[in-house]
Amino acid sequence: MNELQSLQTSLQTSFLPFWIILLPLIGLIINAVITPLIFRGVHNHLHKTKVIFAGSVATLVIFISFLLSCYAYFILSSNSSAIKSPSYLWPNIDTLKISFQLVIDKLSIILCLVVTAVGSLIHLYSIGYMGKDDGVVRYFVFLNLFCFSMLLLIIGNSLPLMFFGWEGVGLCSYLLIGFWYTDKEKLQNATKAFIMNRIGDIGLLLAMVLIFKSIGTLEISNINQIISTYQSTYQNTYQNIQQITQQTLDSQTITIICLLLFVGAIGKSAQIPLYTWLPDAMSGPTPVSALIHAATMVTAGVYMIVRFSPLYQASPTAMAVIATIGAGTALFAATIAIAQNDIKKVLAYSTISQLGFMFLACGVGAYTAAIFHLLTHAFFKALLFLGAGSVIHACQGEQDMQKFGGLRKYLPHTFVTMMIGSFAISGLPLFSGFFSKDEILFSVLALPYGGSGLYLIATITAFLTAIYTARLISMTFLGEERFTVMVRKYLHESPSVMLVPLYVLAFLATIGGIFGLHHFLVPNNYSEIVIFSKLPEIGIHLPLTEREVMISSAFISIVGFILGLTLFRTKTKESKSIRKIFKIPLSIQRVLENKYYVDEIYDYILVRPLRLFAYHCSIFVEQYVFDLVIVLLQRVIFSLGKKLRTLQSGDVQMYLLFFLLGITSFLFLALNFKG
Amino acid sequence: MNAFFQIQLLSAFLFFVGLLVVLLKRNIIIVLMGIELMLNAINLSFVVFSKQNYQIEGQLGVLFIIVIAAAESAIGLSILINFYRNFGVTKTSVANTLKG
Amino acid sequence: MLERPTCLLSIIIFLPSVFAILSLLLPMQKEWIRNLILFSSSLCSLLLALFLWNIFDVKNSGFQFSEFHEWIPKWGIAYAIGVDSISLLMVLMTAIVAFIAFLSTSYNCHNHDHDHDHDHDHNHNHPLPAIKYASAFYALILFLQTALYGTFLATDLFLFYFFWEIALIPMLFIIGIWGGSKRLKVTIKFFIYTLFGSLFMLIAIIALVAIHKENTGVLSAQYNILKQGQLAAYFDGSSPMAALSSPQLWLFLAFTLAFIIKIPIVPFHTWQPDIYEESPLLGAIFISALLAKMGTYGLLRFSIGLFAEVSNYISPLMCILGIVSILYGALCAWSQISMKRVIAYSSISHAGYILVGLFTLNAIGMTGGLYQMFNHALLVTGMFLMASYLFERVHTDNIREMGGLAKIIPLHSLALFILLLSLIALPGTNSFVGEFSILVGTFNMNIRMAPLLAFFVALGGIFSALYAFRFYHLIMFGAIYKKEKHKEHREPFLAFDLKIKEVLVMGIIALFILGLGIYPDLFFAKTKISITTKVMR
Repeated sequence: MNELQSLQTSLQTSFLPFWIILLPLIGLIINAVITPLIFRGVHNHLHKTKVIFAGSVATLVIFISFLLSCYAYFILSSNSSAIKSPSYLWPNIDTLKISFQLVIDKLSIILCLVVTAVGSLIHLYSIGYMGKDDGVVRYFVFLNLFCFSMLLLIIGNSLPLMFFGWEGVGLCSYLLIGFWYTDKEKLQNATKAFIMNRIGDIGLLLAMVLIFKSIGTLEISNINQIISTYQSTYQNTYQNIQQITQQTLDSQTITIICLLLFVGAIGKSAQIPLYTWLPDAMSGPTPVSALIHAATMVTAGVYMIVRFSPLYQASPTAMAVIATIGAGTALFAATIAIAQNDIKKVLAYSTISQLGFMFLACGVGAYTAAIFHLLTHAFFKALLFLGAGSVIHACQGEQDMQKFGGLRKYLPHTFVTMMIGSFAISGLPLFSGFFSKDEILFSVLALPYGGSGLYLIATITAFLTAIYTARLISMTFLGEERFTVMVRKYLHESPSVMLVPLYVLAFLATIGGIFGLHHFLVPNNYSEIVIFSKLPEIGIHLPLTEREVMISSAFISIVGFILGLTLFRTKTKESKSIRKIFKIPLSIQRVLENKYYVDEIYDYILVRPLRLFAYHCSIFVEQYVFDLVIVLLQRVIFSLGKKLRTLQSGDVQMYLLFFLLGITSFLFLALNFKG
Repeated sequence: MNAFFQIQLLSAFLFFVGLLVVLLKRNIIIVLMGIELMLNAINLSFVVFSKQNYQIEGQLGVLFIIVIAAAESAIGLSILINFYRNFGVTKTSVANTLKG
Repeated sequence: MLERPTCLLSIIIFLPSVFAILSLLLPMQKEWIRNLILFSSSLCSLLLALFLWNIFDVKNSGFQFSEFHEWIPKWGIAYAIGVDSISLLMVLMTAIVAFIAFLSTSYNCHNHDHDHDHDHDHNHNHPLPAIKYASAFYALILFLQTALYGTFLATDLFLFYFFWEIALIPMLFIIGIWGGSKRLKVTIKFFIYTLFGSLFMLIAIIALVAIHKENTGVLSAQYNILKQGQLAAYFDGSSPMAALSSPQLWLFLAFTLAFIIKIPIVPFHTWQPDIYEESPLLGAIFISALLAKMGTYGLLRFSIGLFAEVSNYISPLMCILGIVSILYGALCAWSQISMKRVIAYSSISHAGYILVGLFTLNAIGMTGGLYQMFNHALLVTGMFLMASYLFERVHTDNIREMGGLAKIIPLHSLALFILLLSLIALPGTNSFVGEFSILVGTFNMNIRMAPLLAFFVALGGIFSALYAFRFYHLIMFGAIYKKEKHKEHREPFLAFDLKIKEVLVMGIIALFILGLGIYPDLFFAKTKISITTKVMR
């Protein structure tokens, strides 16, 4: 408790977090309202000005956010442990109290920096990439909205606030994937992304509700505090907790909370089984894929798990599940990536695979390694995507790698930067990816939650990563030229507004290893906000030492990379398929190419039956089940009426007869009941 | 049974005959005659009651009924004339426009 | 400040009738007189409602501003009205919805039949369609408003029933005369179905008063007095047989049946999609936004308020019914072709949420249900306005025939998108506040299957996204050209974007949606007090 008390004084309260979030919002409002007004009814000759204006506004606000984040970083690294914004209590409903507070601590500042830095570079890149598009202002509005939501997700201190950002980024993902909305298929992909996200959100919502019922608060800092004290001083605080909550906080509840949170992370970060939306999300513009589906949004799941690390440390079951799913997804996605021919799909599956790595790291308890890998992955994956965008831009929208080849001559800058990116992702020594991946591999092996099995899977995946990345480079840039004459005519290197971000990212991908975050995110450093519990003791009996792990992983990545480069290099006009190279049957290649038919399985087992059921409900059930009683009643009454109608024969004498009968019986009754 | 009762019986019989005429006969003129028969049967009954109970009100009632019957048959016959003008026959079965 | 006026509530109730009579009496050749009357009536109502809102005492959880006049003393019926915080929200909701609806009233008073054939080659600004007997139409709408206010403010059970039935009559005429092509059959079905339920409610009211008289010797139909009656002794929840034989259960069921038919909830909902399709715009807005909420209000006030033990006993069943509504309504909305039917089924889905929220019987869930009543009223008003604007542009109700409109009418698509965000309860919209509270409330119920119920409530989020996106994609996205089967070439839509008045109306709704999502207490602060005390019973 002494540590906590002394840290209280070093917490700062300022409006800085507000400004960091507010700036993208301001940019988005300017672009949504003012830019259309200024450029009303613009014709082609003013289009370029509009693009530059809108793009500059958007980039500028993100860049200023970045500068503010740097300022916050310096504040944090010097003396304080967190920067809090003033807290506003949202209106409470009975016991449900939610406060609106933004907190920047050492974990969130890293992600803030990543989002704003990579974000501003991608905004800059988009000015060139989307320059000729009609809806470019709308694009920048959505990009700024995304940055706003993502930042809110990162620095929001209460779960509903984080959920606000969570759904906001899901919404922006939908808007941007379906950006070119005249194409039905792109719309379907956008809907798929949103729906799969929402499926994960069920888990997150239920976790929130369960947390509220058992822990009693929805503020993240409070949750972490309660859990960590619950862990360390079991007896005293446990009684306190029991008094305010309705449900006992036992380890089973914590495990369920962790698993439910992980379901949310699965949806957002595209792990098995909710990953099929990510490759289809590539129908959006490439900078969108770079920002949202590589660097930032998909990492929100990892971020959330690291945020709640005290919770996960208390539940070994959940951690085992996370590690298993992470490792499985990593391997699975890597095997698919080898067989893909679309350049963006290779990168998409590569992202899924790397996210699997991050989850694997979380699952064994190496949270720092996971965040480090998140950081480096943001750099090199964004770089790879932007480079791919450059290639696609140059080839007039062609995305099939079988129609590339030998582009090294024509796109030298792109080639250099993409080579650097691919070195980084493969984990070639001294690039950033090497350090982060190596740390993960060692943690998997060394920490008690890990094991040799997971280490083996991770190593195989790293090998495959090198192979497919090198395959990408080889098929695109090296070997014989396989593109058409039309493409050849217009082939040109990208404008500098697109190349500058590439080079900056390449630089970051190279030197990123020095951001080794151990100095920053030291586990012993108890901050009030994120409490990394002490990492478990490193197992003593290890099959390999750290140095051996490092050397072997370097070796594997170099071998894999060279293998990939040489195997897929073509001397002829035809690209080599993996069937010929690896001597695997055609059926297996088809299976890999078609992503193990998972999409089709989902379609036939889930989507189609549901659609059919909905159709039948609306036609058959509506008409014949619910209306049945009504219709039957109507028929009965109608036929009764029809029969009674015959009494109305029109014959006056018949009427008279009934009249008489009635009078007689009435008199009879009246006279009999007189007494 | 005394004479009064017998005449009451006759009156009831006449009433029911008249009723049956009204209900069963197909010619409207005959129906009107049946109505008159009913009224007169009631007249008879009133007179007998007045004689039976030594009061004069019954016979006053008869006077009322005779007047009303006369007025009613006048109206009935004019309705009949109109009926014949509209339908061309005096059958009861043609008056079925209220048929449901 | 002004001292508390004693007959404020009566003025609120009967002011629209005064305007209705005025509209019938004044000369109707000039359209501007009519519009002026309507606008001023809705403005006055809104101002009165806001005034009431302002001077409402937040600390007091009982009925305020009550008035009491003996009406039929022999049967214990009195003209008793009063407002507590739940009624306050309903009154405000009615005033706001009526105001918004009347703002847009010059457009589309007449539901276009499908036998009109509009040329789309020329003239973007075709003249506004005029309706026959417009003064009668608006008078009926204003009478409907009176009935609505009366229902929400009545504290005497029979007065409540009186206003409840009176609300049906203008509705009958509005849809029956000014509706679409199949209106007669559909109106009769609606009328009889609703009346059937109300009949049971009448019997239950009479029975309730009689039982109360038998127990305490007091003959009264007042809500407060009946609430303190000895009904608790009549419910035995120990076994299903005992429960079935206790009168409180049957009374509860009678009341609830009437309300459930009105809202509507599956399985008593089959009258609703046809009615929504055949109504004129104002009729549709009033029936979906306001009359439906009469049902939910009745549930909260009478079913749960008067019969607490039965509510406790039967709440899992009602929650399951609500969940069936949520999922079934969403699934049906997924397959509909007509715009208005999609809105109809989505209303059923949202009504399911409200039902679940109300029957969680804890403060968080019930408050969420109350919020959702208000949110849904706004949402469905916006949706019907959007549907009518769209119909004006493209002259078809069939969403399969539309497409790619976002390029032509961008403001329109933005407005529709914000409405759909509220429909899927995205955080940041008002619906999220309501639905999240309902979810928390469901999970906090003290029954064993609470987590399962909460799971299904959360599942509704997916299904609503499914149908909302299909709806939006078919209308706004996709290929631009209108698909006509019998023409060789395809003609582009010539749709004009939102006009100023439409922007104003949609802007108000969008402001509410986003504003209440960020700061719910703007409207909901004063409504919480009665719910928390009601639950504490």
